[in-house]
Amino acid sequence: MTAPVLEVTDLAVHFPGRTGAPVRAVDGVSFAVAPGETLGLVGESGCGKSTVSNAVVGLVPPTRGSLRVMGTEMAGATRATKHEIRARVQMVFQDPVTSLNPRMSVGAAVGEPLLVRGLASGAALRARVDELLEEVGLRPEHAQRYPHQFSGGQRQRIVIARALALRPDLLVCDEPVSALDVSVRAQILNLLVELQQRRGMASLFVSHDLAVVRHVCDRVAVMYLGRLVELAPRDALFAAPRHPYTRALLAAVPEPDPVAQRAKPRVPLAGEIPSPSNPPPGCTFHTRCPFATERCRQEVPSLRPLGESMVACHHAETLA
Amino acid sequence: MRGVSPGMALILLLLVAFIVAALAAPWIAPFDPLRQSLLMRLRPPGTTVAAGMYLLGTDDLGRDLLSRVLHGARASIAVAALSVSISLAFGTLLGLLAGWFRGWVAIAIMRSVDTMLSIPAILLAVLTVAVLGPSFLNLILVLGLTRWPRYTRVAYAQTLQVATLPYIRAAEMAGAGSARILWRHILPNIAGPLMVVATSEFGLMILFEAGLSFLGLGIQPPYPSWGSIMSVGRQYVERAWWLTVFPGACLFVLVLCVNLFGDWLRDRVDPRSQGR
Repeated sequence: MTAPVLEVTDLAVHFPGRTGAPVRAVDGVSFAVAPGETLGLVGESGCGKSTVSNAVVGLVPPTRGSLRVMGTEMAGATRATKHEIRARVQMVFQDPVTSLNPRMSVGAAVGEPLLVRGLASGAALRARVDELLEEVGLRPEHAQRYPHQFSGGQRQRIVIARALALRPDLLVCDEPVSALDVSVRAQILNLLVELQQRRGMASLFVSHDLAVVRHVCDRVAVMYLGRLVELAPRDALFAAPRHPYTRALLAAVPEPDPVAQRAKPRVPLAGEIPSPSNPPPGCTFHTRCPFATERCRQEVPSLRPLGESMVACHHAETLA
Repeated sequence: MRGVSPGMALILLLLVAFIVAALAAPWIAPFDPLRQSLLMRLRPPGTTVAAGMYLLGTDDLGRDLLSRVLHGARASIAVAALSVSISLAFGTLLGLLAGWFRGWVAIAIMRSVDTMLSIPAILLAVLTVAVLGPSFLNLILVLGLTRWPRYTRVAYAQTLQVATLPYIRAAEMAGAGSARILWRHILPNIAGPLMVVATSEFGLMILFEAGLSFLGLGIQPPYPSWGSIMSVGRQYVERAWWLTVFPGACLFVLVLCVNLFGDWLRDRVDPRSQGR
């Protein structure tokens, strides 16, 4: 196996809580992204998936654990090292309205990474910006315009062009299409897949939309309350989910065919997601799991291989 | 200029007229504002002499009031514009730094803002001018360096808000340093509210200048300023009403126009009208 682009080991990110107990947004997550691979990171709101992506791009310092980008450790690195690594990892944000400076022309925004790092200026910079805009399906003359003159889908193309400017090895996409109209989602997703294949770029794709994840990802990691519960190749995950939480998630996706919808097994989950500042002991999912036993309430399950998948459940074998 | 109502057009026209009158005072003033003529003391508006007409009358030393009011507009507008520029630049810089670096930088800056705001500004200005001595430059410095806290407060609050937006994260990831982020990304996006504060301060500075000159701490005689003309006129108010009425009316109309312009500007930079 080739060296991973990104290797995350036992990553934890805790935020100081209002009432004293820290909020454990991410609590011991490990995974790796191979060159050219797309890893999907799914889970419901508040499970810590966006915190993982913010930690990966260096916007949030990790409390514990290691983050290696192209073999270089990010946790506790010097400013200069971080500045270098940040060029290797770029990000596409969720909201294309707030991810572009309204007072900056598109050309200036796309060219900024090249300009501030001294990689291009003047005519060479303009030429690079034109190339980048064409690569994401915009026209060079768009460089003169301002973000408010573009639609949501076009803005997301501009954001992607800016993220590509430094030729990153890893693109972190934090819900890149969830703020867009359904009609333009497919265009943006196809653009991302195409760019990735052309450039051999790896991607960490954060989303709560399982249909989108199924469309673009090679492997999928499922998060619940700051931890990974399952990590599996896409087809294995969708065909044979191992963790009860993954099953519940898949069961909740509506089918377009009403016959298939009625035939679908229903896995209702009771209760609310517990507070990350006071996570339950043992398996964090036991409060809502229909299969929970005494062991689940006491012992934290580790992520272990089962078939093609990795799963963190004491009863994965018996449930299969 | 879309959507300018007739009323607003009149206000803009008056503002332009004041500025043009102030700039062109040496050329359009009918008399030398400093030339005395003791035989023509306290003549009412419309008095005609061989050299021309005293359209607004004369003062206690026989100087033409219209010429003095026109030259006085120069002093008022110059003092207001320069002191607003100083406090806008200084206050905004501090607010940006406090909002961006937060932590002890913000604590130090915002506590000095609170301290400054707890001192009565006009009293501080009077005290400083009294110590440094009254002059045009001192007047501007005193007003400029005592009026920055309002800008700092606005810049601080706005910076805190803008700094959380994804495009600031993107600039950080692009590798931009703090100076570039503050100058290119934050400042242009907080400029609107700051300009609104600057306009309302501009009106206030005109009043402060008049007030200090009235107290004899601003523009020094024989040079005219609206405040000093009114200060002298106060002694003759029963015999020569024009000495207080005309500069007072100018002051009132100019400050009113500036404030209405500020309100209009505030409505235009309202976040709800942005991002079309």
